[in-house]
Amino acid sequence: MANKRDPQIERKLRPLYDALDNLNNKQAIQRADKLLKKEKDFHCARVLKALAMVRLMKCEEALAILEHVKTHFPLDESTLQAMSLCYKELLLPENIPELYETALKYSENSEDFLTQLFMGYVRIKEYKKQQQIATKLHKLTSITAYSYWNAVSLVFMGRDNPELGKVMCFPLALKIIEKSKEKSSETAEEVFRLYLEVLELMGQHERALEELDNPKNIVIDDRERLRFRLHFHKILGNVEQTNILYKQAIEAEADCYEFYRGYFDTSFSLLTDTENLHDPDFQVDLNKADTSVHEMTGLLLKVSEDSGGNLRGPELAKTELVIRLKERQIELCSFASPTLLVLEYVRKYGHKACCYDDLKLIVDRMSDSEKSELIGIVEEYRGTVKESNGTKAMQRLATLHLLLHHLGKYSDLEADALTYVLEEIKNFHQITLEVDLDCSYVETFALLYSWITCDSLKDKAVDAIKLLFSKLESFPEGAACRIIAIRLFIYLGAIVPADEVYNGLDIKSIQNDSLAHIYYPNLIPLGGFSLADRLSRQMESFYRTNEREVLECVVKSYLCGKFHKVSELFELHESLVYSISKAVFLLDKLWLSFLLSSAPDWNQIEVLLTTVREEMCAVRTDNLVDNRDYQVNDVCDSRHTEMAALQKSCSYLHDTMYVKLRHFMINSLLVLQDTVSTKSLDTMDEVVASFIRDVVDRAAELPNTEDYPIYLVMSQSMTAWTPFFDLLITIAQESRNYVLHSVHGVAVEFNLQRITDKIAELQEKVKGDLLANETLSSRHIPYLSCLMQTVGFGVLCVMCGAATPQRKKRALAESTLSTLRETVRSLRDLCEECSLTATGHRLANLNINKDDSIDSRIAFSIKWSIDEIAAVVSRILTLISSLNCRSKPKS
Amino acid sequence: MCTLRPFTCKDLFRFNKVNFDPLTENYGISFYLQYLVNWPEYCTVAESPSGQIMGYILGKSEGQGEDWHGHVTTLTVSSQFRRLGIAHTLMNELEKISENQKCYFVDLFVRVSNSVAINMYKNFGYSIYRQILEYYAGGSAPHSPPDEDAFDMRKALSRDPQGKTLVAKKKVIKTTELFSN
Repeated sequence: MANKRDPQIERKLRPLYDALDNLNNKQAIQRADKLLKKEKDFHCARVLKALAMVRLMKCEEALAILEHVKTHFPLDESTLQAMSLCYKELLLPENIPELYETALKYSENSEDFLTQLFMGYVRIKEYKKQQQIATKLHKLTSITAYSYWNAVSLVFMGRDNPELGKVMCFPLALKIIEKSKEKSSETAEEVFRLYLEVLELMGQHERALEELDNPKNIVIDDRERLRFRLHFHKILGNVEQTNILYKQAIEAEADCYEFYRGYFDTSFSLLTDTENLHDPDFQVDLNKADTSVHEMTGLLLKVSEDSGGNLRGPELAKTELVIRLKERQIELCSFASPTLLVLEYVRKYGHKACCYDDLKLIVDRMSDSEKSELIGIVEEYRGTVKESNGTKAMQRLATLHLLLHHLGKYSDLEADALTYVLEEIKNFHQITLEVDLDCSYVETFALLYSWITCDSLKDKAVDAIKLLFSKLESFPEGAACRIIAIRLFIYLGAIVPADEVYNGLDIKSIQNDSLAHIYYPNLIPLGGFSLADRLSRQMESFYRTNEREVLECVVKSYLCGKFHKVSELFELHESLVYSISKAVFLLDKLWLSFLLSSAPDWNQIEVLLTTVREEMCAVRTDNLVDNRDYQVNDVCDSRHTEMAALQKSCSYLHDTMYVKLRHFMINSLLVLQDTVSTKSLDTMDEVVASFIRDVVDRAAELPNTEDYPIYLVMSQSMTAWTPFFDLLITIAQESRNYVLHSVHGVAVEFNLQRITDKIAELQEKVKGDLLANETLSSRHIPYLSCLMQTVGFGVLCVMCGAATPQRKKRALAESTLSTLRETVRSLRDLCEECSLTATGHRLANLNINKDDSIDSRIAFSIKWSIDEIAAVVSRILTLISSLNCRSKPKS
Repeated sequence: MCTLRPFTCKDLFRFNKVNFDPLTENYGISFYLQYLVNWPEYCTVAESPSGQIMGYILGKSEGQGEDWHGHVTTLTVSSQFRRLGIAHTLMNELEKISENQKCYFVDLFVRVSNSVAINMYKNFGYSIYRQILEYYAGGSAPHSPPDEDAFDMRKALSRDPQGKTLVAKKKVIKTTELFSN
């Protein structure tokens, strides 16, 4: 931690540094206090004490110390660096520049201070200021690196303000780079990249191409050079040139499929001048087409021959070319029909696990008649493969089944035929489990079975889980099987086994941001409050640490001269700060802190409200970024491709609404507590209005997922919340009116009875849904969870608005308390009734077999969920009791 | 049939399918960023025609004098895309970069129990240089695996035509000796 420092001070601080390095923050505070006792103006010791406090989450106290030290204008490097570290850990990088601005007043030409100040501005994107400092550093030291810092700062300034960029920033940056280039014999790769970037920003694409062709600039590898050339030619609309480049690229690297696509795109574009194939008057110049097709087929034949027919690229490209020609009604190709080419491809590469992935994009481009023809051909071929044995034959069979499912073959089958197919797949799965140790196609058969079941036979979900488990027992690493098992368990309302399977995925670090969506959003709806609480707390710390780390990497990029990483890292930083998963985690954490408080009483809630008020400032609810990875949801049936594509946008809408709902609930509590004047209560109107605008009015936009296969169904939490919207609004408004009347004496009408009446009404409805025909539908548990949370919200609102003990006027009337108590008790009774029903295994839609472990686990989990909800209801009752004690007049 | 492209920060949100492999370690963000910032040219992704990440390699160049070398930190390929030569393509790419950097050799560490990987590297021209005792830490939990030794495997590059850098002074070393060098 310490370098270039006074050795005497360093010696004194060593024990303190050691304690901090060993994460012993309490000891660090004690050691700092000891030093400060001897030397009360030992600023660095004081700041290190603040650092320990930050790490113990005593942020307010730490900030007070830092403010105090700042008034003494510290100039020593140790103190300044320790203060910078504190601000970084507090996620307040904006406070760092001021430290060095002050220090520079006393030591104007300190290169160290200037560098630190430059980095301080980098962290907060103060481009203009960082450019000024870079200029000063360069003038002072003549070090070339600083001139590049200057150029990069100008690039960012120009991007931020394109007008200024055009007239000043970019030309100046170009001048700086050219000047530096002239001075050195060899151009570094990073400088050349920066040079190309500036030329592009200035619209000098031809010049960029000239520079790429200049042998002096051989600083980037051939692949990158080609990428840049293609990029600039595309911008300039040089189709012919791009076409030639793609052709050369194929000749050099015949297995890179990206080149074939580019080659075909440009070839067809040249053929028609404008690629407007949907134009009814579109006519192909046959002579031109003949030459072009001849050239394309010639190239494919040549590269195929050169590779001895061993590369997949040219073989697949033949099929794509034929399909593209057919789309354009050009019948000039000598290759076989697309269906036969696909069959040929499967014959050749069907034993490789990637074969289906290669073909799926190609077959999607086929016409319906070609798809039907292909189904026939593939089925016929499958008949011959079934007779073969061995690993390759099994993988080939897996590929054929995948292809048939993709083509929709299994979606149109009658029940008997479908059962036959499923039995066959199950049989293959069993054989592969027994005979081979390669897990990839064992997984394929298990997945196929589950996909088909999920799609067509939802009532057989438990069977699918059993098959998946038989695979997981032999090959526990099958992530795809785990993901679909999680989906199925959640579909059946069983969060406990879903949690076990999710844990087996061993998801860590950034994966929680991109993958938690497959499991986390179902925790609270299914009663997994403590599981949600644990994960959301972990994630809060993850975001805090990593947002800081990423900013430090931006700084490192400047120091290492890897300038092209700066934008990328800033983008990553934004992705974390505005992550939609982060917003969900943080708001859930705050909301759960009310529901799960260790000793529910009013005092604790009051303390919580203060913390929550501070933490709410850091929660972003707008312009959220979706980092979630939906590629982990394999989709095989091509009819679901569109649904899968929609899934991401629908899920984003869903979670945005969820964030707004939670924001509304927590904000309502904060507004009701802050009742110093009637003015603060006016905010409630805004809070309710934004809830109506962002959530209630948009509820109709939520997709109906009834037709979705189970493996694509996202969280149902918002659907479960919909019936409670009116009640939530009523609670917020009536509580506000109650405070206005009882605390401020404003003549407004209020009726708390309305809240309890509405709760009772909804409770009856939920009861009806949950216990219809004395059975319990597992998919309705989220309604019970929402009902409990709404009641909790009601109780908290009434308490926040009326129960501050210091204000006697705000004490709750016994009648109100008694009504609240009755309401919560009746909810507890409902939970008990549901729990009894679940215990009796009378679960609708489930054929429960008590002897089977999967069935029992599902039944146990459903009861567990209800009991967890009931436990929170009991906490709410305890909370009301604590209030009851307070409202009693003091004797 | 893959496209090689630089590993970018965005890939951290998209590499899940590859990282589900139990032998592929999931590191914290700062680990990946350390490589992306310091050695971006050594970080490459192989992408399928459908846009999926098939595998990736992360590495670096380090050492001084005749120890200046390229190092493979992570090489992984998704199970769906194995036996297609993706690992070889990625290794070739890293060796090419190391050649450009004028390295003497490329090295990598592999678990002694991972015979599939060891044989694969041998096929790529690597040989066992030495064994490092208890290089891979086991877990502290009751049923977690014990510590495991690593093979340090090397392949000489054109700057070391005699293969001098492939001859180790000690065939077996402790992990502490490795870091003290």
